[in-house]
Amino acid sequence: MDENKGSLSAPAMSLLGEIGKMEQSALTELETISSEQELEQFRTRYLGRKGLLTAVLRRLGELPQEERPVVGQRANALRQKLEEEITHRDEALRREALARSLEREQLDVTLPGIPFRRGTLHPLTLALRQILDIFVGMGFSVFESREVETDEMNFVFLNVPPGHPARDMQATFYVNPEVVLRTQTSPGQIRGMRTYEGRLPVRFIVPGRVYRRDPADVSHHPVFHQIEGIAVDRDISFRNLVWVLEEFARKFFGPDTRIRLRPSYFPFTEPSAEMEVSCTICRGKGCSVCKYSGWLEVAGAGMVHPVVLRNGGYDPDEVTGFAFGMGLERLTMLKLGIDDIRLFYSCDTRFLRQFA
Amino acid sequence: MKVPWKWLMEYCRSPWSVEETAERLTMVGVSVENVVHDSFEGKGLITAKVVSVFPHPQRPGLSVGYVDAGGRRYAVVSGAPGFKPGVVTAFAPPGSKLPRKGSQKKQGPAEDDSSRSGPEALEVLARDVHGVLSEGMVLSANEILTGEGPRPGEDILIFPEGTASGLPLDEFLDLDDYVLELDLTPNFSHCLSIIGVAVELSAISGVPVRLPKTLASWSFLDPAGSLETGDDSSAAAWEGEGPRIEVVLEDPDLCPHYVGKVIRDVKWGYSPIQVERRLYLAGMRPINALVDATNYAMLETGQPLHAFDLDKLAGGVIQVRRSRPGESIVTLDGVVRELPPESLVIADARGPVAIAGIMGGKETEVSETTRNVFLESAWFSPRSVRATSMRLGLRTEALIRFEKGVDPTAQVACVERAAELITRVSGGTPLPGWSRARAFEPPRRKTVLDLRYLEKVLGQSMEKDQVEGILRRLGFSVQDKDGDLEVSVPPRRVDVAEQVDLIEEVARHLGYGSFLGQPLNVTVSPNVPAVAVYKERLRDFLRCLGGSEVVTNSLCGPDDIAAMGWEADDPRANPVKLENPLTSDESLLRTSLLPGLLKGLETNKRYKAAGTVIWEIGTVFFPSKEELPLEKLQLAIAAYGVLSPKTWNAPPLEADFYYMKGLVQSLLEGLGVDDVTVEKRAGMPFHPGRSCKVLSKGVTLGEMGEVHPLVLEKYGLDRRTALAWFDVEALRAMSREPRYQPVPRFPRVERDLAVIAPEELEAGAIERLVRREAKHLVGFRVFDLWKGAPVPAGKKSIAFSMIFGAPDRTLTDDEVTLEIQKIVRKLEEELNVTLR
Repeated sequence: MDENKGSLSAPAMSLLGEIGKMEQSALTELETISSEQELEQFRTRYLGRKGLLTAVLRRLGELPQEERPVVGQRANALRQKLEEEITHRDEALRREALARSLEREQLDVTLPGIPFRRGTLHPLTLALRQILDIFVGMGFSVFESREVETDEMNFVFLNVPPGHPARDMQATFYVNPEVVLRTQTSPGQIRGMRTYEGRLPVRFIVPGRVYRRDPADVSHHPVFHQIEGIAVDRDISFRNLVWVLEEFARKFFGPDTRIRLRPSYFPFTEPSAEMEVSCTICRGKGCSVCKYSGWLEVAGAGMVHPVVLRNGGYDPDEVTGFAFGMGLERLTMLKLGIDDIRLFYSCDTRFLRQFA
Repeated sequence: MKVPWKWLMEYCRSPWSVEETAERLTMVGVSVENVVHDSFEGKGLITAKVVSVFPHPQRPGLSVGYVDAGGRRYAVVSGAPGFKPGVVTAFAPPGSKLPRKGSQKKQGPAEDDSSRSGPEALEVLARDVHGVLSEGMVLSANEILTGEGPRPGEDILIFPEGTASGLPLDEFLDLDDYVLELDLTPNFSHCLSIIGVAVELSAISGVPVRLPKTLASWSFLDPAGSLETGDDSSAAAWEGEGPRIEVVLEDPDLCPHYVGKVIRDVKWGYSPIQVERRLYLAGMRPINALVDATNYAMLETGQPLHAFDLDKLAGGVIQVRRSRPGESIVTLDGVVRELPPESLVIADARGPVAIAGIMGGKETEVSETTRNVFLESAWFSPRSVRATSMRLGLRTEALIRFEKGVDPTAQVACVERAAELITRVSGGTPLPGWSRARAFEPPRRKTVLDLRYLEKVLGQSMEKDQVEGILRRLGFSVQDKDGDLEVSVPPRRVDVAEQVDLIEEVARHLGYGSFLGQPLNVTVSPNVPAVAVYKERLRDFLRCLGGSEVVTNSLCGPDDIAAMGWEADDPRANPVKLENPLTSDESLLRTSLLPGLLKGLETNKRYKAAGTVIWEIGTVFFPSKEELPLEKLQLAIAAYGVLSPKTWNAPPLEADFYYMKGLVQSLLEGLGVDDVTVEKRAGMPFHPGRSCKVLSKGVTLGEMGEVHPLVLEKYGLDRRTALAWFDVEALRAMSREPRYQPVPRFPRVERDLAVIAPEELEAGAIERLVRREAKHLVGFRVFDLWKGAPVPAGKKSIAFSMIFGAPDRTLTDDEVTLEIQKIVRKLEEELNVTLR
């Protein structure tokens, strides 16, 4: 374009000069613009229908035909440049405005959030769910049985006739001479077995509340929970019992847990065993919880006594079975390191909210 | 049962240490709870020879003497008759120590070092005795064992001639010992004797049992038992003079076998110190040599024995019979006891002289004046003595053995053993034969053990020899019978009745640890009852809603019931009562979870919680016409106080009616309970104006609301408290399993209305009308409520929002407007509600 300058007419030259000045002043002005409103005014003043640059373009008609494209191009170039500059400026202004607004909106992040109340399940529920999962996984159905029982169901059918010394092992609450608060979930063995009506295999657990006439202390409570289990089939053996108890112990207390059975006595099993697990606190080294023996008693178990099988509707010459019973509170205490059984019944949310 | 180690070792010498023996016994079922090292507390006590004795210069009755304690001489003052020159006795030099006083009395079941704290051992000092310096003390057995002074008639210890001086007493008398404290299960009554434990130890170790001759000759341990006791007694066996005792079994069902033995001309005195020490270690208190001998024989054999003063028995007769109405007896402990009806007693011509199997009478007990002794050895019905003991609230060492059943063939053998022990210490002459009556022939018990059954029960194959060996070592005899084993049971093993009992014998001596786990090989598809599943669903929802699950006592007291304010004829005010509660607070079965939850709120309030939400799912109980009470599953929720405190940016959330209602609504919605309505006013313990029944399809599910101020006062709850309870079965019946409903495809239209309504009109009335009248209504929600200016008095302003939508198209504005107009018209016509 420069080499053509000399050949342009004076009006064209003058117009080009105006355009050049306009560019300079516009660019200078643009830099001072600090709001979108001003920017809009700027756009209108230069590029609007009555704007300065538009006015220049209108005057193109005054130029000779052949000079119009040259000046027109120059004017259009300026329009394009201004539009670009306006866009840039606009973006910059928005950025700044956003930055200012973000700055204004900032919070004290150290103030507390809205309180959401997280609900909690009772530690006994949590433990029971885990225990049920383990046994259901081994094919045990769940049978829930009543809490107030006949003396017959709680004792006699379980091979504990009236006057039997084993009744001393469990202090019993009586409603009347024939009705007791169940001292064990074992009557559930009879009621549960009878629902099978002689079908095999029988395999179920009975979770539930039991009652003993013991004053509350750190390890006793007149109301507590047991989980009873029983399996009956043509060839259930003591070794099957060992397997089930081992599986349970490893899944509930951890894979390294060892179990130990030693002879014990329950009128409704024979042979009977006390199940111990390696101490969950000291890992068997000896501590005050396991009385320095390295072992913790967690369950009673044994082979179902023929009398009980008969009372459940099965012929002890045809079938054998095993049964076990454990204290839910004790299992939970050992697993979670709780040292006072009364906490379970305290309703103290400082305790309860620890286990959700 | 406490087993002194050295005593046990006399019958079966263990090849293992005390601890290992205890462990091995435990693993066969003889549960050793504790091993206590009972070291002798006295220190520095020695033997000493009395060299010379002079009368005390001041005090007649006292002597001063020199004793030679292995080279050193001490001047000692003593009043003991045995303090004579040439005698070797026990001596406590200055600086030695005697056991602290009463140290033998505290023998609690759980013996550990902490329970042994208390006064220190008593240091012996040289002291002035009426002007003479006594350098130490010569000692009686009681001083050595208990630290207390000599008992009436007790002399200092006198050792055999030739005993050296200066020997340490604890070594010389062998006083240091261990005690195995057994915690026996009821089927292990055969281990309520040292010999019984020795048999188990022998079966584990293979070391044979060695018995005193008297017992061995009676074949005590054989399966046959002691049956060859010669003929029964009879008067013919009596020799010599003196009263004859005739035994009459009036109630042979309760006492079928009674043996009496007479020993004449005994000398009264105390037992040797070693015997007394053993009795102490075994947890019994030495009394005198006669009584001690019966106790010693009982601990040894398990057969309780009693010694009567023969000359105090009236009429030459012993009747064993049920007590007669109005009879009483003064027992050995000096207590007058009314005899419960049907109690078995031992009586002479005048009346009861002992409560059979439990305790003897004061009047006929042996004492300093006793010269002739009548020893009793009998078999009493376990059920009878147990029932009497329970009625009397009296348990003794004898009873503990009789109530389980003693060896029915042991009576003669054991009375002979006791007689032997008595004559050894107290002299006297046992008369040959016995006063005896027997009304039964103990059955010889045989059981066939099917080896295939044994293998089936235990789950592993067993060698016949192995099984036989275990049973033989335990005193059973075994014979082959067509490939199975015919096993004869020793009479003392009252716990073994059938085949499974023998299987247990084999299993426990084989060792439970030898059975390896074997997986259950039959697959079962387990069944979980629908109620159990539903309970867990409830729990999951409730957890989402923010409370803490609690577990409360199912037992409650009259105060809990009274606090609820139920009417007298409300079933909840008429709970099932316990016959033998521990305390009045736990004497009833709960009829509602609410009292327990209110107590739970109170607990948390006491711990300064500003607010608490707790809930429980549990059983409640009601009397019924059936034998057993009705058990119903209930759910209850309780909320107290400020649940979210006022914060810098939000108002507090309080446990008011609307909090509970929102919680309940969310729960019911989650459970899929449809058509939920409320009916104002639930009964006690609710606030009459701030409570309601909750229904679904017209069926009452439960109640909810704020708590009556009178109830709150009883529990000391001073902030807003709301409760809700539901019958779980009713809830379950109304709950629906989730099922897919098409998601709306067309936009919904929301319109708000603000209306002026009479103040007493319930919002629910407006909602019911709107829901009834409006076509395409899919949602209704009250969002504003205002009373007061500019709303005129007696009116209120209610604003609500309605959502309209059709499943198949977009509703037009005109359609919705028509609905609105209809609603407005109906509201005015029916409820006197006008647009604001």
